[in-house]
Amino acid sequence: MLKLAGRAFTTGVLTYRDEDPDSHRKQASIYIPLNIKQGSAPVTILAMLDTGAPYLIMGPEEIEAFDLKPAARAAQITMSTRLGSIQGFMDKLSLTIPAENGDSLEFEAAVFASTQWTKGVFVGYMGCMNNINFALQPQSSQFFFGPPTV
Amino acid sequence: MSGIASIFDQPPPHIAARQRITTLSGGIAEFGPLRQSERDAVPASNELLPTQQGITESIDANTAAVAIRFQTLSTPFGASHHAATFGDMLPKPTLELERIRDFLAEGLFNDARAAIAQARKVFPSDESLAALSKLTALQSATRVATQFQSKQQEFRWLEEHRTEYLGRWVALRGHELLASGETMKQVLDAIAAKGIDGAPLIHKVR
Repeated sequence: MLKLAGRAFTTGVLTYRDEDPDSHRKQASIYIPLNIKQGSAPVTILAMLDTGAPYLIMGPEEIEAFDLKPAARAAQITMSTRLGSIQGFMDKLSLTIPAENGDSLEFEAAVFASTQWTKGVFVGYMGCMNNINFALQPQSSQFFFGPPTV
Repeated sequence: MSGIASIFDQPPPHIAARQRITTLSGGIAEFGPLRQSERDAVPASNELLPTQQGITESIDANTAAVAIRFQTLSTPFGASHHAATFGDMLPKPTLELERIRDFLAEGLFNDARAAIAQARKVFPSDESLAALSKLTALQSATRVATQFQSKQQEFRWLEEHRTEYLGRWVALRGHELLASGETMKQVLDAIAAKGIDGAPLIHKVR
């Protein structure tokens, strides 16, 4: 695992996919698996890492599958995305980044969910990835991650 | 009083306060932000004379309404000022919720959290603020001593079977197709019914 100033910076690692998982388009992106508890057992979904976006962004299928609901009436917002301005709501979700080596990492993420979102699941920065440490080794497509050290 | 009701337009986006004030005197039921001409007409002292019991007799309802509106616009937490003056006649943190919503829409999560904490000092029992506080209070990350298989076999399966399952959701474990369906929920329900564990990959083939 990775260390910073003698302390553990990351505690788990997995192999990410650096192109569209369906090989539909050879578009360079980083897709990482995320485990979400569904009933008593987790399932794995693929999410595109996008540190330029906030939150974990999900669409209509995930809203239904994970029973996402607005956290409050005031949590219904209009957000600017690559699809333009879309209406949705904020909720939160417990996730696990599944480690192939080392420890997996459980954390909560703020979710922006919209029935108008059609681009799959995005893992954004604010309210999501900014809660953990992470690093990439592109030569081996490895994604290192761990709890924050500060 | 119809004169008062007619001067209020839709608020500009940055000022979205619509304070619901019950009748104080003379029939003012509801009003919103002022036009600039009304703001210009507000006396320089801008003193808010109403008491806890309502508008004083010495100021007619029109003038008091103008003064109240200006006061709302000129203070960051105008609603809280009014709450102090009028007791619980203005219990809604409308301005604050609008600001918080703007922060969330901009992805300014930490700013939203700070605004919620500030607003809750003024409106400690407001349910919307409590729910938003819960939303933004994310639990810190925790290590779990569990490992999972890489998804390389599942990725290969997707490449090999893309054409025949195009547009469908699939559940995969290794190179094994566990379930397929038209929606994500159908597939999740199918694997739950089979008692499948081991974190299968759920994916829509595009």
